[in-house]
This record gives sequence, C-alpha cells and structure tokens, in this order.
Amino acid sequence: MNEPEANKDGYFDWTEDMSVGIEIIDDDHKSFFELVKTFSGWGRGTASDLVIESALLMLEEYVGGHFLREEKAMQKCAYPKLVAHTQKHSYFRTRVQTISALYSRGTKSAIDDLPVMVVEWLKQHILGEDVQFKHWIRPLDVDSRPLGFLAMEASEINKDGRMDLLLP
Amino acid sequence: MALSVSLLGKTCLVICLDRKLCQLVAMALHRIGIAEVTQSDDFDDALRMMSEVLFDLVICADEGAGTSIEMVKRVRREVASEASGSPIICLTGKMERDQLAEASNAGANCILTLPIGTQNILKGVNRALGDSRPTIAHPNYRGPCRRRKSDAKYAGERRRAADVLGHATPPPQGTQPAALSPQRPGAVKAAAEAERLSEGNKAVFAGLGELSAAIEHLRQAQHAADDEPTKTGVRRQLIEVVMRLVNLLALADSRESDSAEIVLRDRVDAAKDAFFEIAEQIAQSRLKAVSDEIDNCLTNSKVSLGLSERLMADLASVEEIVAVMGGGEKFDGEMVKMPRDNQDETGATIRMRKRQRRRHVGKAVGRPK
Repeated sequence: MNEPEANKDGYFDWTEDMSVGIEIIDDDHKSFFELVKTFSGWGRGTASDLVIESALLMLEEYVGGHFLREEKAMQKCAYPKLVAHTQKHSYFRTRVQTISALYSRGTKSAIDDLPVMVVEWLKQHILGEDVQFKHWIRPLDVDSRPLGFLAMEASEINKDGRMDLLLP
Repeated sequence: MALSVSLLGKTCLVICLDRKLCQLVAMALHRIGIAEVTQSDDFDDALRMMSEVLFDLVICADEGAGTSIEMVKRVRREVASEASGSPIICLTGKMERDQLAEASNAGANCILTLPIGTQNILKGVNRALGDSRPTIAHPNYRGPCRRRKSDAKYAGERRRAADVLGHATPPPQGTQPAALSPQRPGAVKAAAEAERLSEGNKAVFAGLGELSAAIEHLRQAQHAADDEPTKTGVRRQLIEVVMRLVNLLALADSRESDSAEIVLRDRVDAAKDAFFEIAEQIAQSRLKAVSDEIDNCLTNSKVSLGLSERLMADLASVEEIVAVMGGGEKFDGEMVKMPRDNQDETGATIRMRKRQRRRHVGKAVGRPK
C-alpha cells in the first residue's frame, strides 16, 4: 500500500522550487508551512480547544496578511492577472474561515484534514500562480512589514468590506 | 495600529509548560518582528536564564490562570537582578475578574487571554514594552507602579523606600500615584483639615459632614417615594435634620482671623447653601401644589372633602420653612420670587441675598417656638 503523502518526510516543508524570488513573500510561505507542520504534529486530543483555536486564528491571520501583501504588490506593478489571482485568494480565505468557524461551533472533526488541505492548496497555488508574478513584482513593490502588521491591516479592510476595492 | 515601540532587536523569553502553546506564541512573536525568542518549558530553568540574560520581554503563559499568575509572581520575587523588573505579559485561558486583579497585583504589565493570534500578541507586546510606569521593588509588591493619582494634600504614611530616602518617584506622565491610605481621598483631606481646628469647631465640622450626608440621603428618598405616607414621613425627617443643621450652624464659631478656621467657615457656608437650596425647593413645590389645587377648584367648581386640611398642611410647612430661613417679613415677599427665577438678578445681588439669609438663620435659632 502506498504511504500517504502526508506521512512522508518533508511533506510539510517549503522547498526551493517554491521560491518566487521575493524574500519576504518566501518567508510568508515558509511561515505557512511551519504553522501547518506544527499543527499536524499534534495528535488528536493532545491539544486543548483554546490552543487549537489559537492555531486556527493564526492561520486565518497569516492568510489575510500574506494575501494582502501579494495583492498590494500585484496592484502596484499592474500585474495583468490580479483579478483572477485575487479570486483564488478569496476562495481559500473563505475555506479557512469556514473550517475555523465550524470548529469553534463544535464540529471538532472539521480540522482533521486541514493540514493536508492547506499544504496541497499552497503547493498548487505557489507553483501554479505565485511563480507567474515572479518576473512582475519587484522587491520595492512589496510591503515588507512583519506579517502581523499586514494581518492587522487585512482585518481592518475586511471589517469595512473594502477588500474588493483592491480589485481594479 | 501605531506601534509606539520599535520591536527591532528585541529579545523575548516565553515561559510555558505546554510545549504546543509555547511554539504558537513563539511563532506569533516571529511574525510581528521579534526574531530572538527563547522558549522554556521548565520554570526553574527559565528563572536561571533570566538571572544571566536580560530579556526585553517575558511572557508567562499557561491555560490555567492560577499557574500563569504564579509564574509572574515568582519572576518578580525570585529573579535576583534587574531582570525582575522586565515587562511581563501574563497569557492565560479563561480568567475571572478577581484573577485579573490578582495578575495585576502580581506585577504583570499586560494580561492576554487565549485564543492568541498575531494581532493580539502585537497589541500586548506594544502595551507591555510601551509601559512607562516605573518599576516598584517593595517586599509587598514588585512590578509596575499602580498608583493612579497623586494627592498633593496627602499627609498620611509613606511606605516606599524611595519616599523614606527622600527620593520620591514622581508620578509618570499620564499616571499618578494613588494615596496609600485605605480611606477615601475626601475623608483624608477632611481629617487633615479637622486636625487644625479648635476642639469646639472640630465637633461642628464632624457634625456638618454627617448632617449634609443625611440630608442628601433623605432628598433621594423623597424623590424615590411614590406614596403620600412615605413622602410625609421622609419630609418630617428632613425638616428634623434641617433644624439640627441650623442649630449646628449657629454654634459654629467662625474666627475670621484664624486661617485654619476659614476651612470650617467654608464648610459651613457650603452646608448653608445646600440647606437653603433644599428649603427653597421644598417651599416652592409646596406653594405650587397649593396653587394647583386652588386652580383645580376654580376650574372645575369642585371642592373635594379634606382639601382644606391638605392645603393647610402644605401652607403650614411653607411657613415653617420660611421661619427657619429667617421669617417671611425679612424677605419682603421674595419667598415667592426666588433669586434664581429672576434673570435680571446680578451675581453680586444673589451673593448679598445669600449672606442675608445666612445671618437670618443664625438669628432664627434663638427664636422661641
């Protein structure tokens, strides 16, 4: 029987072929993998609800902050595929928020496949979409603040419903 | 959010017995720009590290509030270096209100509750590192200064070592040290003032406070009462207290030449003003009630049984008030036309009338009943 991908060594690790050439964006991607790897290492029932909710909250913030960083940079350099890219971000953001909300409301099994889902989506998105703006975005176009600050800004934008304003 | 403190180059020690939570907190700190994060799941080891290395920030984390609070206490008490004064964030799960106070009393600069994310970690770090309160090191308390206000007139005991040595720490900008006395500030001030009075006036001073409080209490009771027997009873008590106040005022020995007695005189004047205000309100409401009843009779051409007794009682109470205030003839009919109702009255005129009334009160006490 084939071993599940998730059990293989390095499944949750960022690899060099995922680099988009912008250090701060690569760091964000590495953070995703680090968080999910940590999360996946917790056996079922070994972490309390509050700790799991903290991990989910951080994942939501990472998603919000990182996606905002990319979208601001794409808009700044007038990246032609901004709209399609942003829609993909929006889809994944909604998925993560939905899983987090389900868990908070008591559906504990909602997070069972979360680590694999995130990694699979990230790998596909980075290798399929993000690498395409490699030759468009310059380091100067990127908001280089720590991810936590971008997460806070994204949260404010979401509150006002202005996320769509990033689209041209 | 405007970050008041730069996080560049800051170091942080995370003390947490739960390895998973420790990892999450460290990750969040990295994502807000704090690169050097040391994790420790052994408390004694953490204390040893703090004695050797000065961290810019310490986070004591545990889901149980009791454990995290205890960690904060031990850091403040057992770390034998300036590190004991480092900013501390107490991170915990659910916390009750008394535990919140306990965490502050333990010396935490900031308290955060789970679930934790990068945003609330960022806010907490900003708050803790930006805490400008001086650090207190006293056998009973170690941590940020928690005094709230300074009282220049406070004359009670000062227990801090810096106060004893004559290097009293000035209150930090935006915060002021609170009085150490368990008494309310007003009571402390009053007690200090009373100490400077003569024996006789000390009794008056104390009595004025009690009677003023009693009057205020009865006024509130009168407003709250919604049935006539209760209102009548409260009114009777109110007049009784007012009469006692009038007697007390007459006993006040205001020696203008003694500056300390001016304090008493000010209090006496304030009590008299309050008394006159109440008396005027009562008299006005009585007269209005009488006027309304009479208007009602004339309009409807009806006189209900017992109306005359009611009107007599109301007028009698008005006369009683007038007598206490100095007699109707002294006012020359101005009981009906109160100074406050007359918009043409100048401030000087009103003050003159107030002085007249105060003198009348003193004389009224000596009148036979």
